[in-house]
Amino acid sequence: MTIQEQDKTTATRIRQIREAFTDARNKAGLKDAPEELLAGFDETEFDEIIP
Amino acid sequence: MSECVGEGFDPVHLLIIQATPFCNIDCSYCYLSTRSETKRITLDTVEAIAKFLRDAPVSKRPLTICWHAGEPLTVPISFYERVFSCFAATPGTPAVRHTFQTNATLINEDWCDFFKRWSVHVGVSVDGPRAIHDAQRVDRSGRGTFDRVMRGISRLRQHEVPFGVISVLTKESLNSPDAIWDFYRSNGITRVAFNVDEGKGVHEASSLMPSEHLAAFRKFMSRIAELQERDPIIEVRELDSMRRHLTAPPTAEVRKTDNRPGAILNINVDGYLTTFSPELLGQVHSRYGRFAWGNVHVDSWEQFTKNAQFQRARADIKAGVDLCRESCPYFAVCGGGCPSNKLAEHDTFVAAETAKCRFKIQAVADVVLERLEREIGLSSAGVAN
Repeated sequence: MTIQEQDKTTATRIRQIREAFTDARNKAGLKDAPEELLAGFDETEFDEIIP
Repeated sequence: MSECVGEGFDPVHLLIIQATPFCNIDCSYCYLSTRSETKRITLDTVEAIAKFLRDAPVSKRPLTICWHAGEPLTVPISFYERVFSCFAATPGTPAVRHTFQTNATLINEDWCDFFKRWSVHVGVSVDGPRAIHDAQRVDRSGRGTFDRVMRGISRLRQHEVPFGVISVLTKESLNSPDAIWDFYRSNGITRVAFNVDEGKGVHEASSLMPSEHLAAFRKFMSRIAELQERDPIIEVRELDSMRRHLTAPPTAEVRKTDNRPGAILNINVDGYLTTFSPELLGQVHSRYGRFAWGNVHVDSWEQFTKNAQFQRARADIKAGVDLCRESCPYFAVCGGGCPSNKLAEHDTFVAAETAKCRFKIQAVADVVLERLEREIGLSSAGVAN
């Protein structure tokens, strides 16, 4: 597998896992996860939040 | 307070203030060049910060202020009492909450009382069991600091002060996930973050090289994920946040505060300020000049946003994030690499992948993705290109 193929597979896997969890939430009637995610600064241990 | 964010600016999410550059210990991987300087921030500078904030848009209230970039507990409690009161009393300043990132060696009963009185969030830097911790986190005489750190942690626990920890991973610690996990369990530590030893600032050479240590790092995180599954009471920042990013809606994008203008404000002991990666503050670079794009004593928020050197750095950082978006399959769960790492490794912000990306994003994403796929019966081997 070339690096480009491998990269495409990773991006595809990420999309597919997100779709699978979104489908599962929809089927269960759960509120969807937020579209906007925030990744914080490494030197604080609490900084990763979903607004 | 003005809500004028400025074109292309994020509202402020985190304010990092350097109370002093001084640190009472001397860790081998520290990137701060000024950690022997004993000067302290003045109350005048703090008042200027409080006034500066009146015009700065903030993302949520209370705004988090992290006292960092030097050991904050080397400054007396009485000073912080005055400083915290100043923030609370300055008209128009957003409500704030204070956090300390500390090596914990100076924590005593008085500090615990203070933390509780002001609801301070405490983050402790500790790398794991004695042998791992003392290999890097030493005092200025070269002695390990483990016993002093554990006394501090013990006091926090006695006084029921909530705290989390950050552990820096070196090539030595990658062999010991079980020992490190047991250390957290046996010391009542339930919030953990892992940083990797990075080459930046005055610490130019990391002990971790992707070519040699990436497989060991992946194995370490994989084992930590297994241990966390058995012991879910312990939160692990890297794993938990990656799970959130990987299970978000398909079109979700991560905003990484390090590369978003305005999201992190960094102010040093003299009142100079920058945004983006805090490690940049005070550095000097041939293209970007000195990373100090204003001073709270003389500049307004508006003047800061129009600083010419800032604009140049901002354009390059954006170009670097665009490169990440175009070239990296992990972009959706990352949001683009850290500017300070790009500068340290590539000597420019217009760059994509760094060693930190390969450890902290790609390897962690691989570990979590594989586990999630297994959990819901999606096999990575069967994924079509």
